[in-house]
Amino acid sequence: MKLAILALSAALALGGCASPPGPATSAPAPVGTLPAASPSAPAFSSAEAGRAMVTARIGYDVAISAATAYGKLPTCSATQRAPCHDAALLAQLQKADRTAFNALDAADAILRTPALGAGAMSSAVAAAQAALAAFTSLTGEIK
Amino acid sequence: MSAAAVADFAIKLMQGLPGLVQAGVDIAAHIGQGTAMLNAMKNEDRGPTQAEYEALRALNQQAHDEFQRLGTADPQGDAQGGASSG
Repeated sequence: MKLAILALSAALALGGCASPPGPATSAPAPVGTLPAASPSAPAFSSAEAGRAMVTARIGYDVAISAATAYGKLPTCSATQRAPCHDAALLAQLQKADRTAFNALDAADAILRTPALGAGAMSSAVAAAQAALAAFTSLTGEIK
Repeated sequence: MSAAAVADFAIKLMQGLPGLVQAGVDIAAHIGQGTAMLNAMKNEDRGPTQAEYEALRALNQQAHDEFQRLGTADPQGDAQGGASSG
């Protein structure tokens, strides 16, 4: 499991380099205005914030994959020894996953409302990264 | 590298099966793909497009849903959101 944890750390390290979002690279849309629907249009008005979110989502993908592999093992019991998953730890992982996943989506929503300002965008990205770090940290409990 | 392949890698790790070196290369490639995507965006001074980002989010959603269905998760959910959140 150590290699997986190292990989997760590497993924998060990518995100750790992300600095707070810079100024919008295109004219901000008014609050409540949906972004352009074109698939080739930028997902976010701030390229830097967009890259930070991509980094976070890649990190999430790696973390959830490792956690899912763990959860698919049989439940540990008196008759079921390793490899197995601890039911309490799995429940903790699932709770942390919900927090991280919801934080990512919340950050998406804020980043798509540029009128809220760079401060709100930066805070949202930081909150998503923190929730993801908490989830990833918990995967370190997997034995 | 697909999420399923990453999961397979993790299972092999935990079960101590052979082929860990190759699996390690695979997950390194997975990280490398993400790094390459980010570097390309940075070099082009841009963020993700709608299509790129939605594809990534869909992958997250699928993995999240699968994980939440596992084991004996609290069916009542929690204050952070329900088990089928997202």
